[in-house]
Amino acid sequence: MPGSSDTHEAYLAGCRRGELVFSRCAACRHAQLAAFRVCVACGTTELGTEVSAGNGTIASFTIVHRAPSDFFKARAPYALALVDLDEGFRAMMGVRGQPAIGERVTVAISGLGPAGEPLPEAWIEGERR
Amino acid sequence: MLNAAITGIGDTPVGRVPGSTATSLNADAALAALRDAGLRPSDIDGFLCAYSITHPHLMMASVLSELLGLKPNFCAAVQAGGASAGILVMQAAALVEAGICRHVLIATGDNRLTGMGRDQAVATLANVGHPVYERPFGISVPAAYALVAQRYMHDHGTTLEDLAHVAVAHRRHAARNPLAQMRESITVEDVMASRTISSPLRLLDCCLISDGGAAIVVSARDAARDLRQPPVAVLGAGQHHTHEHIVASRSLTKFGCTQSAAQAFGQAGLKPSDIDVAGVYDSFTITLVVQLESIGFFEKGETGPAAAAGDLDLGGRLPCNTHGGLLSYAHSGASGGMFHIIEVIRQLRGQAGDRQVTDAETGFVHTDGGILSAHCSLVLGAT
Ligand SMILES: [Zn+2]
Repeated sequence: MPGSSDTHEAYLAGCRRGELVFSRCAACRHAQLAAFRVCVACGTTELGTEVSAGNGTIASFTIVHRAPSDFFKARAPYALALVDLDEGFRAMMGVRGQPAIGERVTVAISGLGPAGEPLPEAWIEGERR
Repeated sequence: MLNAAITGIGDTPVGRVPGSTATSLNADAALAALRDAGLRPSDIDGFLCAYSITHPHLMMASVLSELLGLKPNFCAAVQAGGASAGILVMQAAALVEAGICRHVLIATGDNRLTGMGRDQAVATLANVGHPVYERPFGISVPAAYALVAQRYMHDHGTTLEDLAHVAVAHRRHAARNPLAQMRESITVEDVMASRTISSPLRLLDCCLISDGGAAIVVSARDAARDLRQPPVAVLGAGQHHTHEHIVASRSLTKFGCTQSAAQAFGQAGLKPSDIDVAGVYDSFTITLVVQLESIGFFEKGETGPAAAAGDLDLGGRLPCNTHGGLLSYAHSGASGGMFHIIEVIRQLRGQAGDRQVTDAETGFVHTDGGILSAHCSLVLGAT
C-alpha cells in the first residue's frame, strides 16, 4: 500500500492509544525516537517499534516564559524537558511538577497539544495525578 | 592552504532600517562589496546568497543576480541558518579552488525587525522545532538553547554570572562601534535582573533581532593581487553536521564545532593559541561559551571567568566579536554570521579603527546554525 513512510505514524498512533512508542533496531538493538528512517547507530533500516514502560530521567529542562504562539502564551510559564527513557532513547515533553536534572520521572500520555492531540508528559515522583 | 582570498566586503546600516527590504539589503551590501574590491558586475562569475524569512523566494540567487546585472557561471543559494555565512565562504573558496570561478560575490540580508516584528520573528523561528517531537510541547529557539545551557552549566560549572559576563563583554565591544544596534553600557547586575526568556536564559543572554545586510567577494589568489584592498587569505575551512533538532542531538554538551574547527585549523596548519582575533557565533551567551570551550580556546567552565577578566576584550587573550556580535551589534539572519566574518577581515586589514586589535594577522570565524546543529569554521590570514 503506497502512502507516507513516515516513522512518526506509529508514534502518533501510540499517543492516541495512551502509549509512548519508540524505534528499536532489529540488527543492533539500538533504541531511538521514532524520528529517523535508519538506525542512527548502525545505519540499517531494520527498525521495529516497541512501547516504552514510561520510566526515565530528566536530561535537561527549561521553564519557558517567552512562548512562541498564543496557545503557549496562555500557558506560560511552562516546563519543557528532555527525558532519557530507561529503554535508551530521548524524548521531549512537558513536565508536571518541579523538574531537575537527574530527577526520575514517570511518563504518561496525559498532555494535550495545540491541536488537541494527546502528548507524553513527564510526572515528577510525588506529583498527584 | 586554499587558493582563495577575500577581496571585498560591504555592509549596510543595521538595527531598524526603515523602508528596507530583504532584497534592498542584499543588493546594497553586494554593491558596497564590489566597490570595496574595485570590481564591476561584469567581473563576477559566481554568485551565492542565503535566504530571507521576510520575503522567501524559490530562486533567491537568480532574483538577486538579475537585480545586480550579473551573468554568473555558478549561481546558488545556501540555507543553513546561522551557519550559512561560513558555508557560503567555504563554498566560494571551493569554487575558486576548483577553477570554476575567479570572483565569487556572496550576499546576505534580511529585514527581520521592520519586516516582521519581534513576535512574528519569534514564532517563525520556533517553526524550526521538530513538527512532531518538539513543537507540540511549545519549543522556541531560546528554549532549545536553554536545554543546552541547563545541562552544560550542570556538567561544567558555568554559572548565571558567567553568562552575564559574556553579555557585558559584547556590550563593551559594541560601545566602541558607532554602527552597533545596542551601545548603552550594561552591568552583570543588569543581565542578572533582565527578565527570563527561557530559564536559565534571560533577555540579555539573547541575540538581537535586526535589519541588515552584509556581502563579501571571494577571489582566486592570483586574481586578488591587483584589486583595491589587501586580500585576506582563506587559510582553512571546515564543516560538521550532527543533527537539526535538539531532541535528535546525541549530546547536550558536545557539538560539531569541535570537528569543524579541527578541520579548519588542520588545513591552515595553525592552532587556537595562534589566533589574534576571533568572530564566534553568539546567538546566545551559552552558544559562545560552548563553542569557545569545545573548539579549544578555553577550558571547560573557563569562559565566564575569562570574560570577567577581560580576556575577550581588546588586548585580551582572545579579542572576540569586537564589533559587538549578535548580542549587541546586530542579528539579521544569514548576515549575522557574515558580520563576524567582515569584522575579522577589517581587523586583518588593519581597518577596524578604534577597535583595532594590534598587529592582527590570524583570524578565526565560527558560524553555527540550528541548535548547535550545523557548524562551519574558517581560519583567515592577513597577506
Ligand atoms: Zn542499529
